[in-house]
Amino acid sequence: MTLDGTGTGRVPIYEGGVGLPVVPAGPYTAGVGPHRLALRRLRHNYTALFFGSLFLLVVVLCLLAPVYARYIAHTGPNDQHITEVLNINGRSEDVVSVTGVPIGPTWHSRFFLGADADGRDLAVRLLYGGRTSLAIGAMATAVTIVLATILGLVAGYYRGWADSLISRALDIVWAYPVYLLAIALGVSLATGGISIGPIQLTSGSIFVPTLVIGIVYVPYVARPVRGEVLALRERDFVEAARALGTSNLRIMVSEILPNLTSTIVVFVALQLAHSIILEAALSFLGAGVQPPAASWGTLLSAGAPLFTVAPYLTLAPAALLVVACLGVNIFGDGLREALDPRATVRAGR
Amino acid sequence: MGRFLLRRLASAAVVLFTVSVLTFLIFEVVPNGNPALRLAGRTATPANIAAVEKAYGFNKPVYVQYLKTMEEVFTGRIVSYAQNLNVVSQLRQDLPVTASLVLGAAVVWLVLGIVLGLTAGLHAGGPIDKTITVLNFLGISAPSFVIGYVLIYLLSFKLHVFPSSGYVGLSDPLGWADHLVMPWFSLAILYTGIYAQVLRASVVDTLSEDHVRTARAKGLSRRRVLVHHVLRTSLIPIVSLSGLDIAAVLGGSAIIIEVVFNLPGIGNYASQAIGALDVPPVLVITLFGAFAVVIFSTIADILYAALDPRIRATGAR
Repeated sequence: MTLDGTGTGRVPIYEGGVGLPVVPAGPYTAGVGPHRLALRRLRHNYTALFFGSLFLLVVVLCLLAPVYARYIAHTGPNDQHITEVLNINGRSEDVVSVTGVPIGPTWHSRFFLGADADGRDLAVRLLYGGRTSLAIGAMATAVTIVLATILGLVAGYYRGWADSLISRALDIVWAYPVYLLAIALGVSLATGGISIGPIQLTSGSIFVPTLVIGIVYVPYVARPVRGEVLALRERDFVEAARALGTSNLRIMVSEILPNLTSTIVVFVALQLAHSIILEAALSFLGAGVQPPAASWGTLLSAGAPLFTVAPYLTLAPAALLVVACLGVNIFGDGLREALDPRATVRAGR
Repeated sequence: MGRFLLRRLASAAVVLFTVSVLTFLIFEVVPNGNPALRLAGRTATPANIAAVEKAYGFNKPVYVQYLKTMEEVFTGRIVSYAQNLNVVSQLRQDLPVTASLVLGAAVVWLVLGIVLGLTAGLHAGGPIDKTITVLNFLGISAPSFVIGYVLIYLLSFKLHVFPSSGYVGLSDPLGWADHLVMPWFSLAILYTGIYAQVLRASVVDTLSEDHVRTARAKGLSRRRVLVHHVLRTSLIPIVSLSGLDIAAVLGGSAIIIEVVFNLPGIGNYASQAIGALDVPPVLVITLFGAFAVVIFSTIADILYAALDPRIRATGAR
């Protein structure tokens, strides 16, 4: 199937159907696939690129957490320094004062952003917490996308009773307010842990919030995927594949799935932001990551009671969280725009 | 229409029933370990535990426990484990706080979302549009409780404009609004961003439609075209979204905002129950939250079908 001249059979999708990109004729557009075109559009969207790199910067910083802890801050994320006295610009200051107020930002290598109530270095915990938050966000997104794609494909392709069954199941998950379902599952799993066959999750494991977050968002992705599969399965190239005797599984995987990539890519970015925010909310309410493990959510929740005396304990993780989510959200929107074939293409650039 | 109504109501009933079973299972069966162990206290003898099991019916089959729990929920007799207080009467006491919070926030996000979305849509592509879009994304990317803390920091501790926490009843309208302004905005900013984006897209689409061009061509004023031809069409998705979102907020971010601003509402109650691993209140609140979503979405579907005959015929959403 070479509908677009690339020989891949991939056809871009826009709302309500499938079609070829509207590309003004130009010397460089001939024989260029839709994904190449999308990339070209994205390359000229400087806002999206800027915010995308902002997100990448946060990721890199968090990945470098051990380096920072070892060579700059000289302390680990769970090392307490309650009784230590620091020498800052000639003045000596307690890490945690006798009244229990932790030191504020020193802007020095040690306790750059200050300490928490247990005398732990906030900057170190912030970066380690970011690793947890980003890891949970990424894994939860993977869970959502994989489950939703499979369910959406099967429901949309087979229709009939498979569709009814899957759609009703999605309706039920969808009926719960996301936070309440996540909290309910988080609380019940966080207290008892879970064992599914050979997989054992203890109550403190970060896989509990990951699984919870991954599952509650499935209907939000599976429904649009199903809708697109319903439209795609009526297309000529699917009929052609069927006429050639291609098996159902193969049609789904090699004919329909490639046409879903645009949608899925956009959802990956959106879900990443959603999952990171939900992790923070869950941990904030005590139903997510369990202390002493750090995540942006647990840092926010630990900082909240000290908000009046040490607001930076809350504001620092809040700022990093917002920057990460803003970055991935705006980049995702840029991706969506780039993959939307109705967007105007500046050909020849 | 009659057949559609019947089918939609039947499917809502099935979902409601399944939701109630699932909620019950999540709380009563999934957590490993016997709830009687937690209730009986730390130094319980096996006889104590057996007595608690008997008193709460934990030794009965699961379906009996389910029926008993549901009977208690719907007759309003369910009591919490922690203090043996009636859950439903506690909820009734907390409801005005949560309702004030959520409905006020809905007004804020509808007004702001419509103003911002319309402005951005009319200036599509220009600097005003870009600024509003970035602001919208900022709102979508910041969790409501983070916005809450930033507002408390700036407006309560730095500028002393609004009180940082607490609730005052409606008998003192000024105090009521004074205490709720920051919670309203914290809750509304996310939805303002979403609604402004939805409305912007919808306005851009509508502006290029034939009926708008016709209206302009026959000499109607710009203002009249905007209000009667553009806004009216563009508002449909917003209005249908808001019903669902109010239900979602009731069982969602309202919980966190009530904790942040220390408002004595249903969310705060839920949060305390979660902290104490007190199952009945969390069960009831989750159940009612899910019921609210199902009922609101059923009403929305029926209204939609009443407006658009095509939906009735196919049963599509």
